[in-house]
Order: sequence, then C-alpha cells, then structure tokens
Amino acid sequence: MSTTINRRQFLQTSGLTGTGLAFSLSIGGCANLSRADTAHAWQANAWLEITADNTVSFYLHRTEMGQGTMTGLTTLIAEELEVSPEFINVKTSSVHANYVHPDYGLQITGGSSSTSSSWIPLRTAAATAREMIRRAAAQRWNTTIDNVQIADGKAHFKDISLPYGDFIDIAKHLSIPTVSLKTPEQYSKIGKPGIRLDAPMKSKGTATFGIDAAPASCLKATLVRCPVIGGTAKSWKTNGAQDMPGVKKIVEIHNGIAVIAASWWQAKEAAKAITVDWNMPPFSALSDDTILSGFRDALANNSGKVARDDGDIEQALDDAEQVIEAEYYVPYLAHATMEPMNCSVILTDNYCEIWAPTQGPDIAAVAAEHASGLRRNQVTVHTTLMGGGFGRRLNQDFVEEAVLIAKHSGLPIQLIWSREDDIQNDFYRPSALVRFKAGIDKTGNVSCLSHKGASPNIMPYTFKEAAGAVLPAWLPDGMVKSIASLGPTIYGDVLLDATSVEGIADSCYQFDHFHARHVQHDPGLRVGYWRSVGHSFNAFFMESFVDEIAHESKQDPYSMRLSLLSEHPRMTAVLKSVAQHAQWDKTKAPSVFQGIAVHHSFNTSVAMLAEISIENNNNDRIRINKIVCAVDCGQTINPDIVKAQMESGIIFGLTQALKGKITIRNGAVQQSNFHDYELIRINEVPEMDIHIIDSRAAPTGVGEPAVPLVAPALANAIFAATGKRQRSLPLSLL
Amino acid sequence: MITFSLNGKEFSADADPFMPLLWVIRDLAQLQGTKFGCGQGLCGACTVHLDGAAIRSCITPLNAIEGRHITTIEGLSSSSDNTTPSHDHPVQQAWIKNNVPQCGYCQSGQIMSASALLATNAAPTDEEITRAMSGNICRCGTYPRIRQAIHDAAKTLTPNIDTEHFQSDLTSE
Repeated sequence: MSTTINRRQFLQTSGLTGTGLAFSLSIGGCANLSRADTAHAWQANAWLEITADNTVSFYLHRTEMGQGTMTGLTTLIAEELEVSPEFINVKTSSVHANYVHPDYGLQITGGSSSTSSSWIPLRTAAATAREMIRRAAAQRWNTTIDNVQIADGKAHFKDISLPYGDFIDIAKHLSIPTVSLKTPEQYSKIGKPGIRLDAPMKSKGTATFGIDAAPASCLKATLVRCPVIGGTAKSWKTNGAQDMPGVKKIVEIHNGIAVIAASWWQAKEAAKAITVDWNMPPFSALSDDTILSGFRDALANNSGKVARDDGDIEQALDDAEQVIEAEYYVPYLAHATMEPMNCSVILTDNYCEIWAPTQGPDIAAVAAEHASGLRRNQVTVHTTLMGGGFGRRLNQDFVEEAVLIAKHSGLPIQLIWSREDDIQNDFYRPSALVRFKAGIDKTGNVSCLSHKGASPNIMPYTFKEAAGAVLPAWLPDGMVKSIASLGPTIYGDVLLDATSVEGIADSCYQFDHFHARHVQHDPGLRVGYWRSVGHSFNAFFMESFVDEIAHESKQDPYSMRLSLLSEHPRMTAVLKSVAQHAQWDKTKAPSVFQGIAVHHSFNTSVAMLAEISIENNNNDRIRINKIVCAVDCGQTINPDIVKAQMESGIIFGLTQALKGKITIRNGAVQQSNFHDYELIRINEVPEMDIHIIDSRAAPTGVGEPAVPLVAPALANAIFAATGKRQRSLPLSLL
Repeated sequence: MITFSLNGKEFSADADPFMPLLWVIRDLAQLQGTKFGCGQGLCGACTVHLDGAAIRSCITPLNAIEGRHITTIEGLSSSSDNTTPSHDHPVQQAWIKNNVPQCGYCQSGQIMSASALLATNAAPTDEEITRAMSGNICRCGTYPRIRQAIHDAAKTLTPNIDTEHFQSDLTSE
C-alpha cells in the first residue's frame, strides 16, 4: 500500500501503484500545525516530532481510558517508523483541527473507532517521516535513496549507522513524498503480542489521572446538588459552614452551592451543614411506573419514525400461519467509572486553563469558553488519563461546573464529584421498551419481523453540548446557544436518532419482510452514550426475540441464525466458532444448558455463548459456568489487548445483565454508591474462552462490541434451562 | 498533630483527627497513587497497608493510625525483600507481565490487596484469592488477569512451591 500525507492530517489517496494504494499527507505548511519547528526539533507532521537528540514523540490524539488506544496507536506509528513502541515518547495532543475525528467532526474518543479511523493516517504519517529521514540521509551521504536502509530507529549506509535525530535539519526542508504502506506479511509489530505501554505506570501508582492533575495552587471544591437533576437553589443557608476548618469560600452556581476548602474532605464536611430550598425541575414527579406507562402510551399513540422497511410487513403478518409477539424492557443505567468526574481550573480575566479527564477535549473547551465568558483561543485544555470513560466523559457538565465555580469564587479550584454525585448525576443509558412481532409461514420458517421501540434519543443532549465545537468560533455566543437548543426539536420531531435503533435497523438478519420504527419518548432523565450505546439494549431485545422465534418454530437457535445470516461471512464465522468451541451440538450433562447470541456492532462481529447449570443443592439457583466468545475485528494491532477488551466487555455486560438498574422516585435517582448500584466483583466472574478470528481486513472496533452479547446469551441459556423467558433486565438467576 | 510512619518515613499531620487517611495521604502528604473511588469502603480503590494488612483508607480516620505503619503503592517496592533491580515489587512485576491494567484507576488498590494477601499466604488458592480480592472493584473487568498475576507473583515469591495446580482456569490460551 502506498500513501501520501500532507503535514496536516489530511490524507490523499493518490491511486494504485504496484503494491496497492499510494497515500500522501497534504500539509498546508507549518502554519497548520499546532507546534512549530525549532533548531532542536522537527515537526514531521501533526503527530510526530523528532528532536536532534533523537527523541521521537508521538502526539496521541485519542484519549486512553483503559481501551488500550495508547498502545495500539503507538504500535501503528512504530510499525512504519521502524522503532519499537517502547522507544516512542507518547505525549497528549492539544485541541486542534488536525485531530478532529473524521467520522464525527469532533476531537472525541468514542464509537470504538480510534484504531479504525487512525489505521491509514497514522501509518502514513510514520511512513512519511521515515521516508523523509531516508531522503535526508541520502542527501547527506551523497548517495541514492535506495542505498539508504532504515531499521531499528537508524539510517544505515555502508558501515555507517546514525539515529533519526541526526537528519532532522535536512528533513525539515524536504518536500512531502508519497509513500507505500507495509503489506501484512511485512508487519513486525502489528498483530504480534506486545506489552501495554501504560501497564508500568498504572502498576506503580505513577499514572496521572484527572484527579491527580490539579496544579498545587488549586483548592478543592464540592457541590451541594438538588436531589433531582436540573433543580436550582431557591434559597440557601450556610449554617456556619463558612467558618468550618479549611473553608475558603461558598458560592452559588446554576445547579448548586459550591464549597471551596483547602482539602476535599474539609469541603465535604462543610457542605453537610448547608441547607437549600430547591426549585424542582418539571420532571420531579417522575417515577419508575410512570416511566413505563409513558413508554407504553408512546408506543400505542405515536407512529414514530420508520428505521427500516424491507418488503411488505403488513401483508406478511396477515399471511403468516402463526404470529409471535413479545414486549421487552430495559431500565436506565449509570456508567460508574471508577474515577469520579473531576476538573481543575485556573481562570484569570483573559485566560482559562483546565485539566480534565475527558473523551471530548474540544467539547470541554467549548464548555469552558461558555462558562468563563472568554474566547475559544483563551482556553487551554489538558487532557489527562481517565479512570474509565465508557461514554460518560463525552458529556462535559463537570467542566462547566468547575469553570463556573472558579469564576464565581475567583479561586483556582479542583472540583471532585463524590460517588453519590456520580451515580445520581449521570447521563444515563436510556431506558427502552420495544414490541416485536414475527410471522411463521406454513413451512415453519420465519417470514417477517416487525419492531417498534420507544426510548429517549441521546442526540438532543449531545447536540446541546457539542454544537459549539462544530460551529465556527466567531459565531456569537448567543447564536451558538440558540442553535444548540434546537437539539430536542430536531431529534424529537424531525430526525431519527440512529443510536436508538442501532442493532435492529441495521441488523444483519435477512428477513424477507423486516420493519423497524422508533418513537422518541423522553421521560426527562438526561441520557448519554453508554458503552455500546443502542446496541447495549437492542442486541438483548433482538437476540432474545430471535431465540423465541427459533423455539416457537421448533428450530435449533444456532442453525436458524446461520440460515438467516448466510450472506454475512463474518457473522457466520464467529457463530460457528463459538458453537464449535462450546460443543453446541454435543449432548450435555442433564443440568448444563447453553444460550447463544450473535451481533454486529462498530463494524465488528461477535458471537457469544453462555453455559449455565442449575445447582440443585442451592435452591436450583443458576450458576454461570462459562462464557465463550468469538470476535472478528479485522486485523488485530495488539491481540492481547483485543482479548482484554473482550474480557472487559463480557464483565461489563455481566454487570448489565445481572445487576444494572437505576430506579427513579419523584424525579430522583434512588441509587447512590456501590452498595445499591452493584458492579460485578472477582467472585462472580465465570470462565471465559475467547477466540479471535484471524483476518487481514482493516481493523474494526473492539472496545464495545462484546458488551451487548452477554445479556441475550445468558437470557437464552436461562430459557433453555427453565423454559422461562426473561424479557427485561437485569436477569434473575433464581 | 498526629504522627505515623508513611512508607518508612515519619509523617506528622496537623489535621482533624477524623480526617480519613485517604485525604491525609492525597491532600497533605501529596502521594496520589492511592485513589478515591467511593468514600464508603465499598470499592477498594483506596487500599493501603496498615502494619502490613490491607485497609480502606477512605474510612480509616487519622486518629486510628497514630504511631502505626502505613504503606502506599509508592512505598510498596521498598517494603518487600524480593524487589529486583527495577525496584518493582513482585506483584507489580506480575501485573506488568500480564498486561493487567486497563484504565488503571483501581489497580493501586488491587495491588495493595494482592500484596497483603501474599505476605501472609505465599501460595493462595483460587478460593483464597477470591476471598481476599472481592472488596476491590474493577469496572474495566481485569479480574481474570488479576487472578493470573497473583498466581505468577506467588511463584516468584516462593519459587520452591509448585503453584501450577492452583492455576486459575479463568484465562484461556
């Protein structure tokens, strides 16, 4: 493969050469880089800097939150730059147009897409730098390019070997070449097991997360909040809090009363004394039963928007010999990242600097800009390592709060949320209710599938925060806010939010008649992107209902899926893999049962099988013996990280399947900490058997695609064991 | 003023006697490897050693540790006789070798719990690991690797004991 890159990230595919595509990075010149060449350092492109003392720095433009992107993307650079990943000095990139995600138009880390979207650009960037070093060496040694070899971080000619740093003075004046990328058989690092670059610092306690990143001058802040999200203080009393030890200031912001103290514990202690009379938001009458009845009414009274319409569903249902119907439901869920939300701020009249564990540094910059009243170019965002993200840190409410506290107090502060703040002030995974119908024809085959779902769309909430990051910086603040406020209208009344129906509307199943529609119904609790987003519930709905169809039509659940997926080789391969490794077709012990599921998300196919047993000596409680998983994510960069992400997704999915449930009373989230919002612990982890399909195809997502499969695989196994179909989450093992 | 030993050095805290040790360590001693996760002793992210035993520093008041020995992740390597030239504790080495951390936020606490276990039980069984580690939550789900790394570290610490038969069947391949 061959590519050119200009010095910005924009990639130009210049056409086929002997070995494949030619790429070029088109660089508009140094003005487009966020960093400039100096006598000591060459900015090869937006990602790479090589200094005279041969320090090779990679400016990582996606955030590391556990998914392994730091190691994976550095490996892409290392492969083409001919250095080891450990040799590369990984730095965090700034907020800059060069680093905007090509699919989202924002500098965000999400959608399990960091590797796939960086696959060509980063290798091209590294190959381009390598070829410029080669050309610089040839010039210096007065020989032809072909006589210079590049290996092990050095240029070699005859018996001379010199490090890259020796050639930067020449390289920085060269034009940008078109380059060829390595073919898979040339890989020495991609696809090979390698160490996680962040493992040492995270094992020694030296990794700097957001909570560790506050400058020494920062005081600590906590916020007294309304029990219902969105409430505002009508009146409040300090009751002596201002005189408590360490307390520096108490200020009101839009959603609460902030206490600022020398230490966070002192701030929390003082906050306990404060009493607030709240203005409650409109949805403060909301409770679980009204949420469910609201979804039912929405399905009954609204036609919604069509998300898929293959064939003639009405006719097909009329013609069916038998119609199967079912209703499925899932609750709201919290992200529960281990590191609570936090943000540090230093704010002056003309400068705002923030340190934030954020998945969207450019959206964070906009939040800081609006909260501070400064201009975009007066805001600097330092993105830190994150103690988990899972989508929660795409929302920047904690940044807005921190900047407002700094503004109203006039103090440098670090806002740290408590765990209670975190569980009760999330952007929750939507609750959703769906109804399915399937028709079985005279020959016993499934002829059609109809779906109608109701849930709140996420996009209005995203739109509100992110609009400012995609709109030009010169637009007046008021105009940005008014455009941002259009989100609910646009995505409530006009557009379908694809994430609400993903996994169903784009299902790989080949039904002759396939109809899906979605009714946007927002009970009022704010929602956000939660690891695997719409797939997290739609795979449970779809894969459970497909299992129902198989049992009702007396077909084998595995064989029926295979026949419905005959045109999808990757889905077929993962399905066959788990069936083979779990011995689906073999007779099991009388107390052992299996459930199978398969799903395609983030361009990756995953199949999962849950094997359970009934413990007769334990009141017939269900024990999960084993989860078998097969994944096709294209070419792996670091296969051990792929395996780790499957393990991670399975355990995250187990929490969803067995524990996750946010309940609401009078608008308030009732859960508050890990005693009532439980997460899977080490004693609850079953055996896992993970298989990665060998592939040379371009890489696809790995951070999320395992999550959606756990609940349906388990629900299907439970049905096989008990004959009882559980149509809502969390599942019961009793 | 309350004085205690912090990673082998005397540390005096001029603070409220009820201030949780976690915030003494983080805000006063400026050691940030110990993490805040829940504030209620529910997640284990704040685990440190009190006279060698694993405790939750977020619910341990300062006045409970006067004159006692506290070890945090920063002091772990020097607390072991089995450190290598790299100065990492065998548990830390096993963590790195097994690529255990993902986000890494809980791992200081996991490592402190694991090293306290191995200090009293050189070759723990799977059941004993489960019991010792159930107080530490990992939202990323690194549990299979934590288990494997503890078995590996046990082998390093007591090379003469054959721990093969204790190996977990939880990690494939």
